[in-house]
Amino acid sequence: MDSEWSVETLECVALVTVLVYNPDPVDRRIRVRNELDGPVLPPRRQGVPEQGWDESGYEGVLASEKTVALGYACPAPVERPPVTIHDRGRARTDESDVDTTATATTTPPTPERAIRQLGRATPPRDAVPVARDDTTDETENDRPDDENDRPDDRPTDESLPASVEEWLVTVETRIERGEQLSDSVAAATDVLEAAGGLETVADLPERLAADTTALETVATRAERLAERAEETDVPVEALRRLA
Amino acid sequence: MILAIVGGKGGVGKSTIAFNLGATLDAVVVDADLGMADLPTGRGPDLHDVLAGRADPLGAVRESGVRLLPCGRSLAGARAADLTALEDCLRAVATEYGRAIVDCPAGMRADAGVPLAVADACVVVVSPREFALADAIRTRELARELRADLVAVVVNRTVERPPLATIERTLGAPATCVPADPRVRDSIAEGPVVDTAPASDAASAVEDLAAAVRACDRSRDPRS
Repeated sequence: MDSEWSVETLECVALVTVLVYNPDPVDRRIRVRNELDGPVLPPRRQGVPEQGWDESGYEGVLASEKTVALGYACPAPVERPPVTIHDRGRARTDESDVDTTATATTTPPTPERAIRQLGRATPPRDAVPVARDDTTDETENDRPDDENDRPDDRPTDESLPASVEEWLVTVETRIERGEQLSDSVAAATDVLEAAGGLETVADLPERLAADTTALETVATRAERLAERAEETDVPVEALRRLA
Repeated sequence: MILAIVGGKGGVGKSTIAFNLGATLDAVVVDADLGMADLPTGRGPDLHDVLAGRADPLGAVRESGVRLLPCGRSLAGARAADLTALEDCLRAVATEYGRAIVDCPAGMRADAGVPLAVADACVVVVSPREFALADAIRTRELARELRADLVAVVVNRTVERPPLATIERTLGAPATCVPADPRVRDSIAEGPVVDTAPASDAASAVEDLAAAVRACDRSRDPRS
């Protein structure tokens, strides 16, 4: 089994990339074990770890003469080579390299697989009203992040209702943060320092996707309403005469 | 046994069928429609609380009348609910009470898929207006992929006799008609139709469905 690894460290988090090549004429089962002193933060789909990942690394079947590229994060210093690759032997003939598109005959029907394949149906964060009337602690998940997202010193558009302006400013802040994080490693490091670490922006892609949908919906609806408003001609004088 | 009540479209009467079946089987009916609860709720912990780790599943079961594990009604609760915790919840309820009947949401997202992945078997509810059966077929395929055996198809709110042979052949299970009956429509508020109208066709249909579920249960575990 041929392999090579590389590590990039971002804000005390090691981002590990591993390439493994199977030169054999048969499929082989491999184990990629994390050797750093920290937990494995695996790639996730819909919030659920991708198939094959567990707390110590990855296990899966690598097809003959194929390469697999794996990546994960680990909040630990890189004091030694981050991974060891273990050849677990020839894969059984009925095994396949299972992933999220596996069929019912090869993988068990777990809730995690259902979530990965079908997608979550939770309401987006912005749909949850900030002021609510039940007395549970559900708001704890929402309030701290919204505070981080909403700066106090932006100029506001006085022609818009306050709630709309506030929502647009919140979304704009998130978009800007996303732009900065995808700019350069240096810019991303500054942003993460200010935000308080990788954990605070871990769900940013998901939130930006929800923002995109919401903005497009609002844009379409607002445009239609504007057309209707423009065409509406209320005959005030005529109504007054008839009254 | 964990039985999922599914049906690709909304508004076909899944909750009503789940409620009436639960009454006849003396099961706990779990309202797993996290975003739009249909079954009555009241004071006390609900499924949102259980899935957010704030309450024990057995503590959320309402014992008066038809046993229910209701869902919360807030968007915040729906958002905080962890679907991966649903399996443990349903297994705890089924172990304690024998059968858990899960009223699933419409659609094909994870909130319908996770109960199917956990369930031993399912019932697909269709409306007779869906002659194309497109949504029911998609749901049936999802159930097959997630290995929930299809016990029966319920054609709900029938007025005339629907094309049962076509439905049975397309979906691959026996079909039962539950005729349109205001006592079924009002059953969640007024009581299960097997109690309020035991001689009605609707009550017979529910009894037939319950018998099919019991037979499926026995074939899985002859001791039950």
